[in-house]
Amino acid sequence: MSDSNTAQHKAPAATPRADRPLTVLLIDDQLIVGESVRRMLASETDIAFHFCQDPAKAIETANAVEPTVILQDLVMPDIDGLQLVRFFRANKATRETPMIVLSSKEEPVIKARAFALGANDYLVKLPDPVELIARIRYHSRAYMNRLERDEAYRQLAESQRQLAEEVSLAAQYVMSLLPPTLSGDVNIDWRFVPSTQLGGDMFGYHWLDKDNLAIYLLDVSGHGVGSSLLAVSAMNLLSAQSLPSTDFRDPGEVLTRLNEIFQMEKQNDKYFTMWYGVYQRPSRTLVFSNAGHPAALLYTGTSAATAELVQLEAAGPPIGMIDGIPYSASMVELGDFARLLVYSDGVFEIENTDGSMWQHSEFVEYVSGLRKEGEAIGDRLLAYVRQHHGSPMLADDFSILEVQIEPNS
Amino acid sequence: MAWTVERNIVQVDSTERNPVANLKIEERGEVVMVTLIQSRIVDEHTIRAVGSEFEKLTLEAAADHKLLLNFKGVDYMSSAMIGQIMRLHKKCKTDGIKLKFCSICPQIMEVFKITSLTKILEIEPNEETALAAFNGTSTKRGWFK
Repeated sequence: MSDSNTAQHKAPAATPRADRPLTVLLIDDQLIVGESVRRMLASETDIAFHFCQDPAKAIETANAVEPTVILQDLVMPDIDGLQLVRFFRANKATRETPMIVLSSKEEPVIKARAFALGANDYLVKLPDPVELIARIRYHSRAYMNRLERDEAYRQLAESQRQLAEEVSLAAQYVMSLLPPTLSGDVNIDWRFVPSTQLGGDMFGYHWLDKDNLAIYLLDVSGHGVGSSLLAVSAMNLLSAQSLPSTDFRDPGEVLTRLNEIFQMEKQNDKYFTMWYGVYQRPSRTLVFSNAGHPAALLYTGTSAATAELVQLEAAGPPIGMIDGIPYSASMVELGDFARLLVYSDGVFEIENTDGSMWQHSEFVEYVSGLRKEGEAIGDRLLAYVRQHHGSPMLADDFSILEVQIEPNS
Repeated sequence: MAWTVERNIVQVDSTERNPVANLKIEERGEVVMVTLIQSRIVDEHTIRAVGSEFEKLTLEAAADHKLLLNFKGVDYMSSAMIGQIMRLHKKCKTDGIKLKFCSICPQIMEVFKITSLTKILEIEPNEETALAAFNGTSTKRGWFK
């Protein structure tokens, strides 16, 4: 009987297993009842039967044999049967195990109390074998299904936890790629709020040489891991300046080359809009190109008060949509005052709480108003957008770069 | 050649979770008109399903066919959905299928303008003008306009 030895030395099961065989544990002080039930079940080769005559050892035995159904006498010496039902329910390994209580007579009040304490069924002993077997099978199957479901749920919760952890690490990586704010004769600050943990927006800026500062922002279609991976790939090419034979001072060339590399068929149908500009310090000019991205807003003039808005609009469709097309660059001259806003559509494609959408023109008007007040725009805009949207969780990634170019000395 | 709409076009692969077709397909003379059933498609799965329905459309259409994508009733289009539209556009170009769009609401039109797609896609104000444009009697280029 090595099996039962193993069972007895085993610690009480912490979590019931779903793959156990159909197992009946009978607790009854009368040997004759034990023998009768054993005989009733003898023909059922797939049902393992255990008999415990000593109610004091009932819990211990149950923990060892892991029954899929417990049959328990209600009237035993030294212990109240109903009390034992309560003990079984308090015991972790048998908390959910189906219990059929056996009694010598039909007493509605006792039955009701047994059910109230957690019994699942009630039989007058000795029951008919056919009925007993049917009930054992019914309760055991329900129990095992439940254990399977619980196990599946536990595994699901575990895999979700792991996944969330991986996504969180990926999000940290994405955040680490974003540049620190820039200060000097060009000041750049930004606000970035991804709508999901991993968004499709990416941006950066860096001096290509002592005269030329590249500034760019891209927005991959969709959200989540897939979009983020594409955003990061494109971003890494730009920040490492690793596009073959490309002059990074030429925005048209950069976008043309990116468009050759990132055709959507090869990118799981994903494409991106992008604004890429280069500020040339000595000539105080801004050269830019725009692939289907919302116009960057440039306020420039001799002073903040007289600055006028120039919208730096798209020269072509988003990157990846149309193979082999060239993107052209445009140039604007900057006055002594120059402030540039580069942003993703998430900052204005806001569904108002009444279901209507904020228009791009309304957005431009709002931002221009803030600019006149001399406010830093990012935080004000974010607060406004959240308030309009009616929730701090946004529907799309929110990214905005605020670039202030000081007068040449 | 008669092109029957009932052929397997709108059937989504049975392995898909959502077997409900997302496109309504009608014939308007020589033109096959396709309408999106939902007013806004945002979830990634449905967008993929629409993509594969688009693919079947182009597979089934003969090279000389004319396809009209009617956006009547559609009031929002996510970036991923635009991706599927562009896939359809590319496929039609390769397969020699004439593709036009019509009845685009101002909101979506603005998105198309910002993304420069108005320069690429053939967009007509409504079904009538679109059908006329297919037949070479575009009201845009008419003598009386």
